[in-house]
Amino acid sequence: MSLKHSYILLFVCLCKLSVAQQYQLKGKVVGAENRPIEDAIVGISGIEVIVFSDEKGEFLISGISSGSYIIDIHRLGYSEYHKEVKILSDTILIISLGQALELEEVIVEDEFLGSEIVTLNRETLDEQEIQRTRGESLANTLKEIPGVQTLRTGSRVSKPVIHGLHSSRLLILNNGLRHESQSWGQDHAPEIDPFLAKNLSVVKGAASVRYGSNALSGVVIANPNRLPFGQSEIGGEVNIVGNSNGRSGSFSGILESGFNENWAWRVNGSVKRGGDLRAPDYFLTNTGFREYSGSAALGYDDGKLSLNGYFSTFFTEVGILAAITASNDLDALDRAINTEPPARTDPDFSYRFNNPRQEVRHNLFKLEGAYDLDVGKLKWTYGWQNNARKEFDVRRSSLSQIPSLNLELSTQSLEVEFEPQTKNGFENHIGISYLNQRNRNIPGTQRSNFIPNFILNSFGAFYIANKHFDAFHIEAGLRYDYKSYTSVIGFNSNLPNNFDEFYFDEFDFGNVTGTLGIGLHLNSYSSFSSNVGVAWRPPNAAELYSFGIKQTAGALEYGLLWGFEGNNADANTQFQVREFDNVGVDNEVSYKWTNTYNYSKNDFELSATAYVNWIDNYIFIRPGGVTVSQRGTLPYYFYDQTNALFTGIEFKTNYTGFKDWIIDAKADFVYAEDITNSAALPLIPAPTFSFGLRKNHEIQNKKLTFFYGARLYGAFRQFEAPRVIAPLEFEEILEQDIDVFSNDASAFDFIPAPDGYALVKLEAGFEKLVRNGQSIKFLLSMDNLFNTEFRDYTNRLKYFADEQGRNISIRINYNF
Amino acid sequence: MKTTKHRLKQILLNAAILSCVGLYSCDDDDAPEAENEVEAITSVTLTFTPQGGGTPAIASAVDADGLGPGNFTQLLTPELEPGTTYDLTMSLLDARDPSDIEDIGEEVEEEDDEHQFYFFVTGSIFTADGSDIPGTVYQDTDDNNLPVGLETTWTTSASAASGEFRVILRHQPDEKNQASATDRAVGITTGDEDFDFTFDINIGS
Repeated sequence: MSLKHSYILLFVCLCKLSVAQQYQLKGKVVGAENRPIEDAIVGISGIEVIVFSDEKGEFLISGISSGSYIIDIHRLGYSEYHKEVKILSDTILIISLGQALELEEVIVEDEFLGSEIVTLNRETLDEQEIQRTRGESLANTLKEIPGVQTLRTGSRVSKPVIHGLHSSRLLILNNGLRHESQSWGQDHAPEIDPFLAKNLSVVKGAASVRYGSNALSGVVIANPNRLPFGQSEIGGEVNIVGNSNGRSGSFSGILESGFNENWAWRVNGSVKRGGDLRAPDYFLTNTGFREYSGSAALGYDDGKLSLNGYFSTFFTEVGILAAITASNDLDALDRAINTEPPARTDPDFSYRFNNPRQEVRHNLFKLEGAYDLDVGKLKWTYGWQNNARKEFDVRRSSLSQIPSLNLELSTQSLEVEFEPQTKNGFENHIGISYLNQRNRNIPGTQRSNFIPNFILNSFGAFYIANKHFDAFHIEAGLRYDYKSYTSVIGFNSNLPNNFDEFYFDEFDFGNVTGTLGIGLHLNSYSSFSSNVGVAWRPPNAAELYSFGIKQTAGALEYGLLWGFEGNNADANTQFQVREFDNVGVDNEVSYKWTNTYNYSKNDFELSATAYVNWIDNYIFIRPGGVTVSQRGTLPYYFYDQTNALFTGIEFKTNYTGFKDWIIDAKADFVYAEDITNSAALPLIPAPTFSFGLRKNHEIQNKKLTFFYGARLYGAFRQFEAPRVIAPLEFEEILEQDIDVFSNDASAFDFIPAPDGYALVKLEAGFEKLVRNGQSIKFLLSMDNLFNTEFRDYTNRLKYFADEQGRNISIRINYNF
Repeated sequence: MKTTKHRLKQILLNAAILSCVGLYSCDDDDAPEAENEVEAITSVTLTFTPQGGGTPAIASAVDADGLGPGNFTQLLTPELEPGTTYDLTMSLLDARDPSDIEDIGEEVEEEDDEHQFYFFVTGSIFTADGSDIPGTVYQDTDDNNLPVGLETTWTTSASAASGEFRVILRHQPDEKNQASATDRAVGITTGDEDFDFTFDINIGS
């Protein structure tokens, strides 16, 4: 590493310059043990300013126009940092320098992501948050970001919720591709392993303009690190995680290297396994799981042309709490709610799990490239994804090995984007995308298909521009999407005289979306951004077509297209799938106003977000009535549309000014209302809080950092929960022939929302530099220290069992 | 460098071709295969045959729309003779497809070691109320000598009455045992419900 840059000789200037003041770059320079490096020299190309890092290793450069810059960092005794960084908004970088003898530096940064909506805040998990959630599922990891909650089916199946919305209403970008999987239900978790996708961030706004349909509440971005171009030796890491609760363990490894100057590669793999979890008083029988994932990447980058090929595979097999099966009729549901410990609880621990269980596989292949034309940058991404989901229910024994749901979803996509060179602070980009998707029911389930086969073609084109002025920037964007469902084919399995009669349909959706935003650079330590975005999504296949008993929910559900031909409810025998064009289903359209305030001065940081999200034609399940089925009395629901309002606020703050302590706090609150029925919407996360303390001890000559801390976190009770109708009340409702739903179509729940809870977590660990560039991190933590019994409102198993009790976990990370 | 660039071009070209071929290869129409839904029970018939001979009385109920919102409804209400002992046999059918009626009762019989019927009586129409398991009412047993309930015997009350007769079929894989078979309260909380319906029954004078 040579000192090839001459800026050191030029300016040494700590004050900010009075040129066009737009963004700030905030950074922290750390050594291999994450120890701050003081007095590092930081330079940025094009801006004739050099700053030094302070005693916390931090530096701040203000007044940067958007664009690409070369950042140079020097410190005697450490290797040099020289990298291109794209600055589109206020940016925070953590730069880790190796010892001088080491050849490579470790940079915490994303794989190049493409243009974003700059007036929407993107919040990224920091190193510490990643470390303490290693081995967890994607949703549980993302929960560290304020505004993100989880919707769960037990502890093993969880999906992220952003600002009260989930599933089809948020978008997951896995490696730059829209994650296309069967995500119809609450128990369909995203098939992404955070061990593979190490950079996790969340955009909390209606971002349809940039990413297409479904981004109503926000976007989850999961990316691997940038490939190690220029690194000549093989590096990597090994992670080992063990948990006492569930006796689970996971192991993952990464190997990576650069070669031939412009090339780089990476492979990784991860294995996880666990058995029955334990609530404070009993085992949560049948909650074991197995998960395997792996990926391989190869990249080329010569500064002008870059190419990247990536393949990943993910497989999981997970058991669902056995107690859930004792609830497919209302009597049983009533018993299940009132039985402690839950039914089918085994007194002994086991790694074995049986039905109900899920088997899910997700494969992804991506080929992307970027070419720097003189007038701008051209980028393209081709993606292929295959998602196979099997669900096994408790059925007659001859059927127990046959999945009752067996679906395969194949998706291919192509996106091309052009970004002309920035001129006078004016920046714009234009893109088109195409997606082809096919859903297939694998025959042989001996159960009516949950959703039909279909082919979906989707096309989108967008334009986004932003202009930078002295103290602010504005942004505007427009997009058109067109989605066409062809060959929707399923069975009207309900028609008594036409048992195997097909329904066949074709329909399409189109929508214009837009965004308008402003970013204000208030002063050198605070900024504010405000964005109004329109996002949309068409109803998905489950919302249109799902039919029949929802195992484990003690209810029947009918999709938007199910009904009586001619809307004549007396003609029982004509209850069937109607043609799309005869029903009139509208797109769900969200208008979201997101505001973010960031403050960072000396040792205090604060970030707060407040939003209002109005959703037209919000699809929800409306209670329809009570029917006598072969299994006794059951309530039934129709999918229906209403107008909904979501609003909320969240913040995150930390303070490092009290001795060696790091104090952090975060909280969030969501309010949601079904406006048409003026009632609460179901499964909206309750307000949560988290408060943490952590102290670092550095032992310099031993190259060791030792730390310990405690955290208090939990949730309040959800007071805005829907009305309660207990299971046994339905018998009465039926007997007295009261129509409780005709005057009040609002949602209900079988039990009141559980009480709030507060849990304590302790953690301690160390980080040690072993040899050149090699480090070991060790973290011991104890969750739910007091073995508190609690239930979580957004866990579907809240009717049956407590959440898991105390858990001691060990996390070891070896970096080389 | 030249060879690298050449190779890259090749990769790019291949990628482009692959994208195009791949993107359009799936557009063939494809219908799912009809699934033979095997767990629906849409028609249940109870046949009460007097032990001394005579005309059987029949109770039947159907659910015309299967899992649709329409009710399971009773079509025939039997008129039984007072003070008479009847053999009760049951037929459980999936009759949604008239050209292929499935006999669910047959499947229950095949897997009788994991199924059991339970009975509840109100209105004193029978001398036994079904709780004295397996004593009087159950006439059939599985391989483990536990009652099943496809065949039962009932003695009607001495005088005219009308009441309700609730029939529950539980599926109890690996869970059917002496306790669930002989204690109705345990039995109806064991396993999953396959069927639960309450029939009206009249005892004539």
